[in-house]
Amino acid sequence: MHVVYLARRLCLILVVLLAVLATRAADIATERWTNGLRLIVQPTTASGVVSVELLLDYSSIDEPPELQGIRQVLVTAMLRGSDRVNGTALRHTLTEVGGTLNGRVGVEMIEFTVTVPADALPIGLAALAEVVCRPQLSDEDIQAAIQRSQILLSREPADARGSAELLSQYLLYGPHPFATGGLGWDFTVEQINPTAVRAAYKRYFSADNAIIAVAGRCSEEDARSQVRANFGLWAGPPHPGRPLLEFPKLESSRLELRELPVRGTCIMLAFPVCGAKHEDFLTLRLIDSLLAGGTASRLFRSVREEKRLAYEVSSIFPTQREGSIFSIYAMARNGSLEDTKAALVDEIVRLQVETIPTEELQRAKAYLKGRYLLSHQYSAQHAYDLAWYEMIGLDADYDTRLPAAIDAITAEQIQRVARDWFTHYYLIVVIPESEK
Amino acid sequence: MPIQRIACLLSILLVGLAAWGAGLPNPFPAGCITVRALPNGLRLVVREDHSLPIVSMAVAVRGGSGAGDAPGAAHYLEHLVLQGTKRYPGRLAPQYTLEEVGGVSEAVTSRDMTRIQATVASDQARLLVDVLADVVTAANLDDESFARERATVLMEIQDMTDDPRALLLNLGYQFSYRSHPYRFRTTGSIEEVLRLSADDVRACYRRRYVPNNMSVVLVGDITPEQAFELVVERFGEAKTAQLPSWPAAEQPVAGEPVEGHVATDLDYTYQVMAFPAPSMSNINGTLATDLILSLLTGSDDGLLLEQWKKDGVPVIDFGAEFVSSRGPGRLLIWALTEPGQAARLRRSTMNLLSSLAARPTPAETLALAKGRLAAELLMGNETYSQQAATLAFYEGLNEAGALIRYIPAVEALTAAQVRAAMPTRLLAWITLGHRPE
Repeated sequence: MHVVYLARRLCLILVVLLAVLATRAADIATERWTNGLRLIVQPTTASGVVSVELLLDYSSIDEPPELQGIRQVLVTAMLRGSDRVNGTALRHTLTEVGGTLNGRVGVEMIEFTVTVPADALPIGLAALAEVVCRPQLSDEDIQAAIQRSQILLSREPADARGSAELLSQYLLYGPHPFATGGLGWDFTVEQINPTAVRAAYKRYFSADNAIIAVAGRCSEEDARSQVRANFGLWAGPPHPGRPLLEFPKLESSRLELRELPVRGTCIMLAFPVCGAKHEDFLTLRLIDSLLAGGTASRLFRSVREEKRLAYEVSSIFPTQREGSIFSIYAMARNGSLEDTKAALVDEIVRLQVETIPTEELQRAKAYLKGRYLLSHQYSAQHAYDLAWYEMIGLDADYDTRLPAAIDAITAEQIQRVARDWFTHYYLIVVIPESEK
Repeated sequence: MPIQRIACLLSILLVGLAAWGAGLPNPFPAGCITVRALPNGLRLVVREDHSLPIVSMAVAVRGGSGAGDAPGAAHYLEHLVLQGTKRYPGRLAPQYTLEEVGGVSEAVTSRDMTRIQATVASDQARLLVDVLADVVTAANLDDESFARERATVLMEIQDMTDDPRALLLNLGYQFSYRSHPYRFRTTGSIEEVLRLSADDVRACYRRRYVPNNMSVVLVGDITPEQAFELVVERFGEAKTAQLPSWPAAEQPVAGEPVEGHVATDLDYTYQVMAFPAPSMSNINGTLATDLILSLLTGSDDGLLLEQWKKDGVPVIDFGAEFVSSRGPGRLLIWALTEPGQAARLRRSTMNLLSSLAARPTPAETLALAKGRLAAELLMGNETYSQQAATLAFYEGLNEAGALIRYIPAVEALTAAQVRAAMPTRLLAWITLGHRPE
């Protein structure tokens, strides 16, 4: 039995080896195996740390409407361990070598991240494979995960900014599944049951639906062979297909005023915008830098420093495949609500009617490129970027093409994109209940 | 087949763990840094690494909140130095200038030093050195900036006062020192900051921000020669000054521990216990205390939790803190427990520490703790920014060479040394909750 098993295993590995289609862009190695798994490796030598990012193409759109939040329950239950090693033992093993293993549910994907000292890569990958390929998913684990989701749902954000962000998703996405933010709703989570969770795992957790990116201190060969040793035999069905859901259209600008048990007053302008594959996305990202990129940005210098209307100004613009929300906000000082709102709107109008001075445009580009570069000091962030760009169809080497793409954006493009996308908005105002 | 697969998995995990334990990883091996001193006393530490086109610079200014300046002055100064300088005079211009090229900057004050740091793409290294040199040698520190920044400083202090854990740790230091300035909060208290004048802060700048009291650390895509050239160009003319003496050592205090209670509306009871710990002048004692910290709390089966469970003491959250210091150190152990349990928690903790001091730690336990300590150092220094901050921290205490000797010294530590450093004398305990316990 043992010999037969080993022989089968060797044959499969050989088939995988022969079937590898390897391409190379810069020093990023990308390949797809016969089991469908996509592997990206980018070794660096900047530190003794290596990260492995496993991204699964499992979106909130894939959740049945009556079971929204099932992905969060599934990930929580998976982290409780496999039928061979429980989650506590896995965490303990990783802690002993200084490593971490985390799972996160995003709007359009699920991610697991392992970060370990370079020598401990085999331990990290073995732990990751246990959680991803062989989770126990017992009734007890799933019930505990459901309870955890219910606790998280019961916690209202204590700060006005967090509340305004949740409101922007709720109002702009409407009935679209992106509105749930991944956790689901009380009434959907209470319908989730162990059978449905195990079925969701079988349906979506397969090599064909996953991307693994390894970044940090490793050799390409070692990373490939170690990932193969742990995931080479991983199988499962292809992605079952995804319905095409339209985002609701915002036909006119609207106001939403809420009095909530929060600290501070937040004024937010939220615009529905395109996803990351759209040709305007990068220009929007550059506009984000112009408006809210640090102390040199327009909002900081105008709304906070010159007009002294707010003690905090910033933006929220998540990178999503299908569509996103571009928000700018100010934590307003007492009594400056109207002026602050007017100041935020003025900055948007300025983008639409004035051409950006060349010097300011160069500054915004340098800021965006610099921040992206600095984020790559962290192997986990680097691995995530590689896997995410591959997943959304921009390819892993987008990472290296990004600086040139930013440099190519013109002042005219910025003006045009601001006019096209910043038409209607939700003005969301969250004030503390005590100010009623 | 399942048994074979289980054996296979366990062997991967165990063999990996064994191989891991064979030699401790060392993120700062011998020869990884170059150290030079300018004629005016400024020290330059360079770690050259061209893996990423990034360079991080940290300036360590020795003498933080515990150096004997007016309480709160060092921290207030940290807020002001990035507000404007001679070459970069506009409000927030130093920060603005670095952000214009995508860089990040920060300033942090601790008890022994202030660290001013920024990280940029390496083609901006000259700008980086130029800006930070101006920040630490030619900050404006005008009355207007001083007045404007006061609200921000006070808000920061209030935030820390509102956070029970931060308040608890501050009280642990405050009650366990009698005379040493380490008893003051790093930020100063609200009353102390309200008493500070712009002249107090400017005096602190003149005393501390001088080349013979500072070290420049550069990590990343820069050669030692390039770094030296840039640093000489911008710091070479800075004038040395007579440095103030360090505060006198804490007088040993005999007798019962100091007790304290702060009434709050918390449903639970927070308690902190403060023990004496070595200063950096006792390097083996410092390392042994780092290891003790790892033994007590470093893993999910840390000895403290194990002991409290054994003694039936309910603990909701806990932690411990030991920060290497130039002056007399403190090891703080804190826990969140149920009302009425503080005394049992204390007895249980003291029993554990006494038993650890009575017998040597088993070799296997010690080896695991050493592994955890080394791994924490490695994982906490993944980026150039983190490496520059760590090197600056050691420069602020003494010199970066101590960091290079850290892992070999940890490897050489014996159970007897750890046992000798075990804290058994309680200096102070403070509770936060509804009523005194």
